[in-house]
Amino acid sequence: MRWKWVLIFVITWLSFSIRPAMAESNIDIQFEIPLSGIVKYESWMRLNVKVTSQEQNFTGAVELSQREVKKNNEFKLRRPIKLEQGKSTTVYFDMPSQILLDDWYVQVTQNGQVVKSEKLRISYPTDGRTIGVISEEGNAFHFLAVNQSQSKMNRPLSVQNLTEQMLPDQSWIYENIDMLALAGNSGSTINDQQMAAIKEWIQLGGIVVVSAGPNQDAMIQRFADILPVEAGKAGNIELQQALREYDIAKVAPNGSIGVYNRDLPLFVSKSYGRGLLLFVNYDVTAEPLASWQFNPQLWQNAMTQHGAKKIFEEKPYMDQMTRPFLDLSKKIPVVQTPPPIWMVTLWGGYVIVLAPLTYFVLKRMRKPEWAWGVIPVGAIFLTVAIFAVGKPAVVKTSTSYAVTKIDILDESLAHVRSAATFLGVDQNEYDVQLEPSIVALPLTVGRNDYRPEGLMGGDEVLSFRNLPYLTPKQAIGIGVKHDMGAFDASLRINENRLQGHVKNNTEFAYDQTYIEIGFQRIPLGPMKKGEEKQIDSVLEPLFMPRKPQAPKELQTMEERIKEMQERVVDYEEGNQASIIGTTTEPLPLMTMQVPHQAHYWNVIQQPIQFQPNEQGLVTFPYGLLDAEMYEMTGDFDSTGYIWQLGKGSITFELRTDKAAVNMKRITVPLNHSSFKPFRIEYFHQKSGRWIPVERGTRLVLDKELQQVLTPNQSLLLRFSHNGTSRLALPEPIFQVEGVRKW
Amino acid sequence: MREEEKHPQDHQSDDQTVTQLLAHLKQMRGSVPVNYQLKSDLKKQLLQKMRDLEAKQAKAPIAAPKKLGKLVWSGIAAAALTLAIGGFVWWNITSLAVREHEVLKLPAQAAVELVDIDRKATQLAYINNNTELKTIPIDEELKPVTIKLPPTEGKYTGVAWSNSGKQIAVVEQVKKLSRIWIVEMPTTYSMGSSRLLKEEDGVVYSSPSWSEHDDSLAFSRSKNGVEEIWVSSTVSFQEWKLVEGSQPEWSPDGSLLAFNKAGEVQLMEMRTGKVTSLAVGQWASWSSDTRLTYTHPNGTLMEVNVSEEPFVTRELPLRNQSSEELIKGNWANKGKDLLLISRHDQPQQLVISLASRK
Repeated sequence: MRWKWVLIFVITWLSFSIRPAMAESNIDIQFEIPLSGIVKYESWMRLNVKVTSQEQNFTGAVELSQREVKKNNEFKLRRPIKLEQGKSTTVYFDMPSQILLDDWYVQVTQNGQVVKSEKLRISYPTDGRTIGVISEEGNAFHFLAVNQSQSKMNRPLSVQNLTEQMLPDQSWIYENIDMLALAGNSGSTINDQQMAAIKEWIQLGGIVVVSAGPNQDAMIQRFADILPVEAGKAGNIELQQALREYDIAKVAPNGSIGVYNRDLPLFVSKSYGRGLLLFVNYDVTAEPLASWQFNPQLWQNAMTQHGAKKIFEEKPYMDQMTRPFLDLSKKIPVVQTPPPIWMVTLWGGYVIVLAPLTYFVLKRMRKPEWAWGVIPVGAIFLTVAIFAVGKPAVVKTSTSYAVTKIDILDESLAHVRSAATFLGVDQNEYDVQLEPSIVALPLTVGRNDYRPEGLMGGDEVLSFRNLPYLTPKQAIGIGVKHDMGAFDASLRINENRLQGHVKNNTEFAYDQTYIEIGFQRIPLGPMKKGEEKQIDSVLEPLFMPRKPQAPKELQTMEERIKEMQERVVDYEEGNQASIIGTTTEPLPLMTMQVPHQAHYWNVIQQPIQFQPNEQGLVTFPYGLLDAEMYEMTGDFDSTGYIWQLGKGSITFELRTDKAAVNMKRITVPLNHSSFKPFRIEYFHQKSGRWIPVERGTRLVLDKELQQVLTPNQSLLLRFSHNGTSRLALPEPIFQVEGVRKW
Repeated sequence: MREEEKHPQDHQSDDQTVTQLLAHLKQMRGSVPVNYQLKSDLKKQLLQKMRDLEAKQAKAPIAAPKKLGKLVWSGIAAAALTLAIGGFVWWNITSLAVREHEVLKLPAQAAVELVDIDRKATQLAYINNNTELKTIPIDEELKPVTIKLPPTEGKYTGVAWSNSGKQIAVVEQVKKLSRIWIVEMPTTYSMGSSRLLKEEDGVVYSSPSWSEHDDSLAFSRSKNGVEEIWVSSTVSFQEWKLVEGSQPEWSPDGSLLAFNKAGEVQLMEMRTGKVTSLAVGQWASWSSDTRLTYTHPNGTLMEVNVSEEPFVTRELPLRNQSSEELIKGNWANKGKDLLLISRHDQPQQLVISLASRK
């Protein structure tokens, strides 16, 4: 009889072990990344996982895990799935690309058992800029590719052909490319959601190039709401005439080219939000330009002149984990973490004082053996008492703290970046509802890191389950906010004064507002909704920030929080004049679905376009545009904004090109004493010579400006010093005046 | 015999004890043979006991108050002694005393501004041989530093340590040309350097003083005999005239500026520009946000509390001071340390000493 029992046991055991194997054969996994898998390190990305159940109905989950073998303490993201036999479903995981570049496994699980596991393999982001091209002709826009040696700052441009089906419906996914080029009659199959996403992406800072030859209406007319171009005006344009305004004019080919609208030039651009739509009034595959040897130079020139290059190059690299936001959101205002000294005092007090005293009393009572029970029980009682008294002192109810930065693009659209910390009191699980316009990633706070972990249910819910007591959880999110209004700013610079008005037409009232220009902050104070402020302030030619730096060890908690807030304000700021406001008004983007106290700290930022002054000139004041170190020789060092130079020279490139105006005058205050110990020269592009600047005089370039500027429309300035003792100079600041191009 | 009689209670008086003892002896005499030796001993003991008792009764009412009085006096004396010692210690701690004489000696013709103490009172800086800037550590953990200054055909005439201690303003005079340099102190990561902050012909600069956050420098500018105080930003290219006068000295919180005008110490409120005359004297230096000292023409150090009007000046006593003539006192370490610059006659030289409150 015994062998029967052995047989039953073996069959039972095998049936358990076979079950996953049966399921595995039943489940099929496929990965897909939008935009043909183009991923940029400094963007968020979407990973689509298509799961197919071949043979039977399936209920389980798709997990993104960092370990192949499931362990209890692993970090993972999970999405539940339910499949009918033979059907497929696609789930997705959205997160910063930098996270997915680690080793990840996609696993399909059922009742906690892994039934299918595959290592996620995605191509590593290329170092450079990527232009996505939609064209029926595979070779269209090939001239946009610029190799490393031709590219400034050694960042190559590569062209990647895409199909309409690869285009996503979400604007934020387009952040993985730098430019989208749409040719001729392509685009008829781009659906309305894709088109809406593309337009929203332009507002967020994307560049779209649309070309149209004669009667190629399909694509350009779908952008009519941004740039109306009259149809039915096909014609021909003489190239010598059409290319006259570009540097490449002297080698322009003879002949003409067919154009979509004979009344328009070859290139027409329109700023839209933070981005640009560049209309190319001819078919880029048409001759004689398509195979013209100077076609790449023409495009480089056109991109620079129309501001596309400026947008292109100004996108700073930003850590998408938004650590300053996460760090600040951990400091939930109502949560009073007891200082460690209290713990030490309570523990030490019990061990050193209370326990020996108890023993002494019991000994006097001639019951010393009771100590074995009384002291441990006393410890438990004390723990419970401290917990009962201390818990409400730490936090009374569940709470959340969201730190959000809103970048206003226009009245209808703003870019949003947020991080939130959730703390459940007497809750070991809760859901977080997301606003439909944002995507978010749940995180666990590690000792030195943040790890993705949580359940993503549906499109707009994050779930946290089986939480240890009083464990904070976090999430980061990006997205857009619609119709929040904008500041109405009319500001101009007259000599060294900023004048005009600012009106708060946003949906928030602000605790503090200020205008930031370069290193200078002009405080405007609190601002109610609809309030208007007149501004007439002196602009200070600052070459370094005025912020006092308190030693870290002397900082109070308030000072530390203020510093954290400052880091959030500085995040993704860029070189532009902006109105910045801070508010604690509610901005529920990620909301805990349990009764809780919600706290907010929001930074709202909006760039300012200065109005022309009475002479019709737009002024970019000192400190707004930056100078970059271009070349150095000899003994040198830098301490932030101050450069030290022994025997040698430093050449700065003054990025006048970032002004993106038709420059009329550049002023560099080289008359300041700080520059007097140095020999100063500027580079004259036309003659190829370095021209000395007289000691103690300002450098003012106006009439000969175009002969001085480099092909990048920047100015090179060289400081030399022959002595052996190190002399220091501040990074040169400068002012640009010009007429706006668009 | 009753039990009580046999074993007298503790609370019975000594008289009763003696009576009982006599009765007992009498009884014993009748009942046992007489041991005369024992009798004699017992009698002696009895008499001794009676004498002790009498003496005790006689002394008791007088001895008690004497002992109490002695205790009280001892207590008072101890308290007085404690107070005296405490007072001495407190006075010793809080009073300002010269603790380090002649930390540095400079030639008699040297300018009094050639030496300065950093705000934490950890080191001195001075111009050595008109070519280099040297530091003298007060804090034992620091090492002396020598920084080569830009070569000059003229003279370096003044130094002023920034509040952060990372920079030193140095004044250079070349014939009629005056310069102010900002010398960046070397760190582990940087060698240090000199930045020219201001250069002007036909003027004499002196007495640089850093603002609260080191983002501005006030200094005296003398042109054609007219003395003015100017401010130059260290983070921008801005500069502006503040007031007529010399020897500017910014209060630690930056709200007030003390300066000298026509031999008087004056006070300027930075927010409003209001100027108030304090007293006759020169070389003001702030020991706190509201207290400053200056040197009276007779060489004494005077102190004034500027938060209380009318201003009352008083002499600030300095213990262990030598007989040199005090010219200038620079406060550091939040009013705990004072750098004293005095003139010595025999031999003629500038003597730098350090006074402090322990």
